Amino acid sequence: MLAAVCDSIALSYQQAVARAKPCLTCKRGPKHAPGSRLERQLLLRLCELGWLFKKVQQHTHGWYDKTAEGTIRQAFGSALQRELADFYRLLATLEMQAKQAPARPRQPGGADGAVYLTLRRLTVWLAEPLLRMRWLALMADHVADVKGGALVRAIDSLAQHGDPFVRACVTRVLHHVCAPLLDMIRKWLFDGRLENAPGEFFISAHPSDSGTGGALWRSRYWLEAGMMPPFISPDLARQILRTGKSINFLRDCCMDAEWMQSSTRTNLAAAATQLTYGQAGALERVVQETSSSIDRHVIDIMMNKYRFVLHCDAIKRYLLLGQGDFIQALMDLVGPDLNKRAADISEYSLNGSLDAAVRASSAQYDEADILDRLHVKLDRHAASETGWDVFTLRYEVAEPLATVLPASAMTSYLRVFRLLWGLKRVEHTLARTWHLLNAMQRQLAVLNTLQRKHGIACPGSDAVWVELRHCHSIRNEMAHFCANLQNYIMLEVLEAAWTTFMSKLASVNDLDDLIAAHTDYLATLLRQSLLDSACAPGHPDSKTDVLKELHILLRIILDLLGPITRLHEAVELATSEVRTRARLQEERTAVGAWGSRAADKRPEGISADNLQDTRSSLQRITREYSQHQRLFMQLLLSQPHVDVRFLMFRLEAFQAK
Amino acid sequence: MPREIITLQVGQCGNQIGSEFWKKLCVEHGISNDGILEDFATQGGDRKDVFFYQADDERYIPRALLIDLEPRVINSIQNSEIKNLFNPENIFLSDHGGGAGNNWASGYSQGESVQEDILDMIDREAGYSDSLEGFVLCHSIAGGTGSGMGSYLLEALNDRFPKKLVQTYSVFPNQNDNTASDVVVQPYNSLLTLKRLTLNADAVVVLDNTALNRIAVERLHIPNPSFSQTNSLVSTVMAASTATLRYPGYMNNDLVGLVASLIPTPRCHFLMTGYTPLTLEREREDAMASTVRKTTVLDVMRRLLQPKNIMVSAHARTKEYDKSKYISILNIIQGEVDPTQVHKSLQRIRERKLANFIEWGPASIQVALSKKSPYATSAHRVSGLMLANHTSIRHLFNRCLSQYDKLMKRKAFLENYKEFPMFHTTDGKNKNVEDLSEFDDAREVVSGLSAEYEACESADYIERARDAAAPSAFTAATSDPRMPVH
Repeated sequence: MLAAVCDSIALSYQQAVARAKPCLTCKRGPKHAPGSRLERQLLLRLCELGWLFKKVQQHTHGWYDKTAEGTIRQAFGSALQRELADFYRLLATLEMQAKQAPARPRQPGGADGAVYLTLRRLTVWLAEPLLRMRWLALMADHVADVKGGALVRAIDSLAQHGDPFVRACVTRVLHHVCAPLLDMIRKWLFDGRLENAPGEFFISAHPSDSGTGGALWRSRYWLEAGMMPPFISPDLARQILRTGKSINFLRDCCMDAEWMQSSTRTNLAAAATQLTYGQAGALERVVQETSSSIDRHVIDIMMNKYRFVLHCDAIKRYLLLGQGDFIQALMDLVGPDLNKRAADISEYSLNGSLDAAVRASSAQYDEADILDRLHVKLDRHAASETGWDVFTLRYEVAEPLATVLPASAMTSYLRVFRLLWGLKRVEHTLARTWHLLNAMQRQLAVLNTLQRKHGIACPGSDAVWVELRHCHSIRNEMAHFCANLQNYIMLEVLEAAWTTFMSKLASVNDLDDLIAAHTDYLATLLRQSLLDSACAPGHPDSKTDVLKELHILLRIILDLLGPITRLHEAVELATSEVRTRARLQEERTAVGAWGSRAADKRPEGISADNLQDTRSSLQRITREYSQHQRLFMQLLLSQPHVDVRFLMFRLEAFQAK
Repeated sequence: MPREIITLQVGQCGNQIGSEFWKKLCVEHGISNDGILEDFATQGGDRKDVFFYQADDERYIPRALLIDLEPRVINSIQNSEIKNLFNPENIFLSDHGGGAGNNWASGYSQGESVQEDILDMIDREAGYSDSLEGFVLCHSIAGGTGSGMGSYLLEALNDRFPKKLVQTYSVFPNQNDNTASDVVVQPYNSLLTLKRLTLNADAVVVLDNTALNRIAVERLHIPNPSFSQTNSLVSTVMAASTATLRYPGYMNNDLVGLVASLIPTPRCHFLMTGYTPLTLEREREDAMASTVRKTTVLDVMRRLLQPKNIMVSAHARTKEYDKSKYISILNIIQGEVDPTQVHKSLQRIRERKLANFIEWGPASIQVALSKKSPYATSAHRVSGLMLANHTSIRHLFNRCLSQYDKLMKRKAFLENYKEFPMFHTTDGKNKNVEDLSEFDDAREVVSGLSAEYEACESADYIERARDAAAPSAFTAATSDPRMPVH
């Protein structure tokens, strides 16, 4: 009987199972089972083994062609197969013993001696395989519907067991299961190759992504939290991700292949092949060393080969107006064009002016690489807009710089540029106004001299004199506002942020740090120059209001030029009239006649209408300006940023109360 | 569009300070004495074309005209180490070479007689520029050529180039009563020149010889300072005040931007300067040998407000000190500066009330940060120049007036002036009759200028303009009854 059971186990597991199974299902056990309770129990145990064995065996069935489920599952199947192979070996031994037993000499004091392999003996022999089989089945159950890293994690959770036998068993399986995972890590770490077709690795990628505009670094690869194996901490995972990304970044964006062959890397890669499960420390060390060496290399390439700082500086000089002489030349050249309607301006001719501005300023000594990136672009425009509204200066960056300076960053720069360009335009207009006012002052002096010499009065000139002082007063107020705003942006915003940025750059370790440093820098610029719309909690509109108010103010300042130009024209006309008259008188005196005659008309001078017109425009501008300026200051006060208060300080500094 | 500036150096003093200025610019831009760019001068970032143009052979040539009526100073320049720097066509010496004899009238009338030649030179020089911004005149107001011919040129420039800016660096004579001046008629010359500086210049940087001497004696410990030593101070000031034009940054990149912020009301365009740290070339080299001194922005800005560093006579600054006020201040700070310190310094200065400003308009200290030349060695990391429009400058004019009045009361030394057509009229019998109306006119303009500065000290300066329709000093025309005045 027993021999038959053993036999059947040994001969055919299927038979064994077939026979054993009813033992499990039928409470009373198989008919031919011996009646003793103990024997039944023993048999039951054997049946359990058989049942477990079948379960495990089912799991391994066809593991080698389950490619769709990924290499880690394959590895798991193979590990189970190995365990089963051990079991088969044992069974083979037992079977041999079962066969050989009768031939053996009878043992003194032995049982009936007919059978060497008793049921009891068999149970003892199979006790350990039973335990092992239980765990194998448990594992198989555990991972039934997970794959990849999650599978490893599921098994790993079972390894946390106090029984060294169990631990050893699970660890053995883990060793197998982790081998493909470690291989993936190695390929990623050293070649940047991502083999993750069935999605079992903890790093995923958009396969179709072209990788332009910084997408490779920013969005092509990401971590799958669900696939994270237990022995890799989130920090380590990020480090691994970055390392592989760096390789791809170097290869695709920086066209730098030679570094891949360097000797230190080959050494490290060789060391990495020795890695197995359970060497978390060693893995971390390898990752650490690989990533730090590649990070260093990436930073080195960004800073030295692609000269990141140089380009940031160029952006600061051109887009943030640091290169004053160039900006001045540009404004002189494109100014007349920009006064036209946006629809009537050609981008082509503006770009021609840009080149001329470069040639006319010390920008001409800049590298061609930088100058080639600069160009003018007109935004889409509404019918009512002028060139000033849509003029933008762009700085083109390609990979790999675009990874740090993506399109969104360039848009932010553009917003700062617009504000600064607007301020610069106002500054120019105010300088022009000053020029006109001074010219008028001189012409009045000329009129005065002519009157004294020739007695030709110019009606209205005194009134102009009075008006001039008012013009100066309002111009001075505006210029003070404008200059202080510019000074604030230049010193407290641009230069201060730049200094911080530069000191941060000195200590960046990897590309992520570099990107973060630049993002911070740009955010500071936007926030401090009142451009950040998201920093006024509680007052969703207050920020935009400040900006809107500022634009209104600037618009009012620009309006000042109009009436002053008209007044200047009138004064100029009057002066030339009086001059002509004076010349006529001189000619007459030269021939001995009377200089002035009764028939001579009085010079027209500056007409009262003209003056009245100027006066009322000036009054309107003054009124609007002071009203909006007050409003602007009030809004500024409500700004949550301490730094904007610096601007407050400047604007009211030394002002008599 | 480099916004070129043409420098006219007129007379003995003008040519001396001018040549010092050019020497300094050459050092700062890495240009050799022959106008050739030195091999080491590759760092760029500077703008040479404002003050220089490049000849066909790549030599840098100053946009400068050297004008004098006597050959001594110009000859010495032509024999000095910078003899090849200037364009020889730009040197004007009068044929007779007799000078102007410290006589304003002589300088003025000689200027008139050679105006064709000089204006041709200016026209030619202007032709080398794409977008000429203006002229800088270096001269002294006390002698004959710089004052007289300079005055004539100011008027001529206004006439010929009405849209261009005119800035002057004007050396004011030593006004100390106890030191006998070598030019007895200096009050006449000064007054007549001041009239032109008031009416025909857009900005005048006042370089007060009295103060320069004091600074040399007290601050630099030179017992008897020579001209070349005080001129070195002047060239330092001139170079620093043009720094933002030559090293472009965010702001103040053109002359108009620079002066417009300083001159809110056009009459009051006389600027004081202060400079720190004050050293001379010789001392600088000694200091280099030891250590480079560390200076903060606050130190610099505070020192700039101290009277001892200001290049205007002490009596002008201390008289009625409490009443006098700053109309504007621009500090040009060169060197390695932490930009965030500027705000702190401004705050400190305001807290301590170190500067007193006008009340009728917004006014504050403007700060321009500028690069320092990488080629010129300096003992100091940070140096600062203050350009200030301060009402106390009127005391300088008042002293001019009082000295003039003293002479005029006695009608002393007028003979030399009466020889010239400006100071006599011919009546019917062809007999020369003295005509001192030019003096009276000048006196009126200068006292009007002083009054204007005084008016700036009061809070209701703008309103006053409404009340007094037109101050008689500037427009003597009677007001037209048809025009409403309010």
